[in-house]
Amino acid sequence: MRNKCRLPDAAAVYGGLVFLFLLGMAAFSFRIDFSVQEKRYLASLPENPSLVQWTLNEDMEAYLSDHVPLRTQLIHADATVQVLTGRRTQLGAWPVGESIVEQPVQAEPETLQRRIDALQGIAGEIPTLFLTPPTAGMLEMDRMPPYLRAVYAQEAELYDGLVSRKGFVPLKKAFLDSAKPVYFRTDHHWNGEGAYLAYRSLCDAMGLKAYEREDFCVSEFFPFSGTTCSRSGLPFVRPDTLVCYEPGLPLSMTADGEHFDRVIFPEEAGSWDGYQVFLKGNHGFLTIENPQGTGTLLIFKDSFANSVIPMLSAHFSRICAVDARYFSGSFRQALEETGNIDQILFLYSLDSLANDTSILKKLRDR
Amino acid sequence: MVFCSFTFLLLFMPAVLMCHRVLPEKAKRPFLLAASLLFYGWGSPAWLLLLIYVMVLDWAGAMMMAKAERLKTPLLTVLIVLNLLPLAYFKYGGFLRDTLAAVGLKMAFSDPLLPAGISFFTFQGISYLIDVYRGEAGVQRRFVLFGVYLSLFPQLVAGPIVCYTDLEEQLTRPCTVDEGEMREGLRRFILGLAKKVLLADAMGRYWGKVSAALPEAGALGAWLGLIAFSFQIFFDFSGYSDMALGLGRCLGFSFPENFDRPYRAKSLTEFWRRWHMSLTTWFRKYVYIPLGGNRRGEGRRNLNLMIVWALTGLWHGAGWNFILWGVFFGVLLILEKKCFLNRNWYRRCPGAVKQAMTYLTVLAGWGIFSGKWQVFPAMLGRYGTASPRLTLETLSFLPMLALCAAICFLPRVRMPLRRWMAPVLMVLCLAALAAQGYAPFVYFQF
Repeated sequence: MRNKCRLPDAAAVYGGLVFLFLLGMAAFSFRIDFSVQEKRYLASLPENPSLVQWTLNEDMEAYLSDHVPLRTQLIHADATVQVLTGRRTQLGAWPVGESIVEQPVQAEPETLQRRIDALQGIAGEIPTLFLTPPTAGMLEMDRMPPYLRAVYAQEAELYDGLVSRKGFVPLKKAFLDSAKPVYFRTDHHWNGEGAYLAYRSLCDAMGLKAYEREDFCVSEFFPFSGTTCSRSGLPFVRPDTLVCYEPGLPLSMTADGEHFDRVIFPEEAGSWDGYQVFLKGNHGFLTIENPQGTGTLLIFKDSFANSVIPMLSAHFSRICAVDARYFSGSFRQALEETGNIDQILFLYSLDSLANDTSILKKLRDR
Repeated sequence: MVFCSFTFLLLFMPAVLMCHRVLPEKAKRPFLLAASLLFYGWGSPAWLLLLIYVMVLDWAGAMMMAKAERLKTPLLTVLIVLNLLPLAYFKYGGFLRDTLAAVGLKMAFSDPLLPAGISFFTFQGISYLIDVYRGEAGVQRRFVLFGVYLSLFPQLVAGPIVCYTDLEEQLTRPCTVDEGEMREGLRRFILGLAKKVLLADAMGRYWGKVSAALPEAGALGAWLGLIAFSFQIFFDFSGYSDMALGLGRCLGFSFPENFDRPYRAKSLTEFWRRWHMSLTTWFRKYVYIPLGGNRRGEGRRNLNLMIVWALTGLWHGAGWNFILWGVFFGVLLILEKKCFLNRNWYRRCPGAVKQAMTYLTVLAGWGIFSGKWQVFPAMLGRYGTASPRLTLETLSFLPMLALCAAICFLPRVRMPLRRWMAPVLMVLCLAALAAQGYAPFVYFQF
C-alpha cells in the first residue's frame, strides 16, 4: 500500500521559507572566524559599504557563503555527489583507493630544467644535492583504473626526466620497494616512513652513516587529517597517524628570531595544522644547532623537508633552512647569511618546482 | 542579485514571499516594486538609475502618446530610440569599436560593465510602447503598476520577455494566490534552480575544460564538449525561466512558457517554436509583422526573416559570431520551408531521424554561437587523439552527459518520488553553492 505523505500546503510552504530564512539569519548569529577544514580565515561581515565602489553584494555573498550553517556538511554532500556521479576530477584532491592524492602536476620539462639550472647556478662550487620525491599519485598508479593511470603516467614521465639529472638523489625505487605506505592518506606530504627513507637516501648520497629507526626517539600523534582531505571535501576519511623521528640530542633551534630548545612540538598536534609538530611549521629562515655534529648544511626547501630535518640534525653541527615563501631576502642573501657551508640541499616537491613562483622571485632578487 | 546565491535563497526570497503573502492587497504592488528595485540595485546602485530611467521614460512616454494623438508616430520613434540608446552603449559600443578597428577606423571607447537584464527590460519597455501605440493595450497611469511590470524581479534579469498585454489584466486584478499555488511555484523554482546549479554548471565546467584545449580534446571530446555546451545553454536558460515562472506563480502572476523541450523538435521550425518562445514571439510581433511578414510575397518574406534572424543573433550577444548564428538559422529555416517540410519523403522520415537531424543542425549552430571555431576541425579529428587529461575529464563527465541527454531527448517520465524531490534537490543545490565558495588555502599545500 502506497504511503501518502502529504503535508498541508501552508506547512510545506511556510515551513520551507522559514527554514531557509532561519538558515540565513543563523549565518549572522553563529560566526566563526577561522575554518579548520579549509585552513583559512573566513570572510568577515561587510562594513561601511560605499555607493561609489559598490562591493556590498559580493562581500555579503562571500560572507553568507562562508558562514551558512551546516556548511561543512553541505560541502561533504557535494563532494560525495561528485564522486558518485564519476566526477572525482572536480575535487581539489582525488580519492584513489583509501588515499586522497593530489591532482597530477603539469609542467613543461624545459621549464623545470631551467629552474634546476638556476638553482645550481647560485650554489656555485659548493657540493649540491637535489631531492624531489615522487608524488603519491605516481606510487598509486598500479591501483588506478587505466584512464586515471594515464594522467599520472604523464606526471611520472616528467618526474623521471627531471631526476635523471646529475645531482638528484634517487628515491623512487626506495619508495616503490617499501612494504609500508610512504605517504599520508589525508595529506600531500610523505609520512614518517617516507621521511625516514628520504633521510636514508640523503645520507647515502652525502656519504653519511644513516641511523636506524630505533636510534631515534619516536613520537606518534593521532588523529591527523591533512591537506588532501581538506581539499577533497570528502566526509568519513580515516585520519592518519603522524610519526616523528628525532635524535635524542641537545638541539637548539632559532626560527625567525625566536629560540627553542627542541625541534618537535607535540602541542601542535591538536592545532588546526598538525604538521606544525615538525619545526613549529614553516619559517623563512631557520637554524638548528647540534654541538655533537659536524659541518654546515644549507637547505632550500618547502614543507616536505620539515619531517626530514630533525633526523639530519643528528649529523650536522648546524643546519640552516630557507623557505622561499616566507623568507624576505634572496637566495644569495641566504647563502651569505649562512656562511661556511659544507653542503647545499634543494629539497622541493615536484609541484613546488613547477608552480611555486616565490622560488623564481628569490632566484632573481639580489 | 542572482537567484543562485545565498543572499537570494536564504534572505531575499523567503522574506519577500512571506511578506507579500501577508500584506494587505493595497500594499502588495508597491511592496513588489520596492523589492524588485532592491533586487536590481543590489547588483549595482548605478544600474538602478538606468532601470528607473527606462521606467519613467516609457511610463511618461505612453501617456504623452495617448494625449498627443497626431504626434504618436514620431513620439514612438523617439521613445524607441531613447530606449535603445542605453542598450547600444552598454552592449554594442565595444562591438562597434572592434568592428571599426578591424577595417582600420579608430573609435575611442572603453567597455562599460553591462547592466544585468538590460536586453530584457529594454524589450519589455518597447513592447509596452508599441502595444499602447497600436491600441492593443491601455495606458497604465499608475506608475507603481507600470514599474512592477517592467521591473518584476522574477523575470527582470533573464526573462521570459513578457509583453505588456500578457500582464495588463494580472496587474490590476487582486492577488489570489494561495498556498497550493505557492507550493507549485516553489517546486518549479527549485526545479529550475537544480537545472542551473546541478546540470548547467556541470556541463559548463566540462565544456570549459574542452574548449580551453580543443586541439587536445580528440574528435570524441570535441563532439561531447559541444554537446555539453548545448546542454549547458539549455539548462541554464530554461532553468532561469523555470525559476522566473515559479516565483511569478508564488506572487500571483502567470508568465508565458519559454521552453518546451526544444531538443525533441523534429524540424528547425518546430525547434524555434519550442526555444526561447518569448523572444521569438517578441520579434514576430514587433519586427517581422511590422516589416510585412509573409504578406508581400516570398522574396520579401525571406528578407524579413533574414532581418529578424540577424537581429535575433545580435540580441544574444555583441559579436559577429552571434550575428552569423542568427543568419545561419535564418537561411536554414528558409531552406527548410522551401525544400523539406512539405515534401513527402521528409514527412515519411521516422521521427527519431528527424529529431537527430534537427539536433545536429542546432548543435552546429551552437558551435558558431560559442565563437570557438577550432571546435569544428576538432570534431572532424583534425588535431589527432585526445590527451590523457582530457580523456579523463570526458570519462568523468559521461554519466552527467548521459543524464542530461536523457532529460533532453527522451519522453517525459513521471517520477515516482515527485513529492520528495523538491526538498532533496534544494539541499543538493545548497550543497553545490556551498562547494563553489569552498576554497581551502591553496598556498598551504606547499
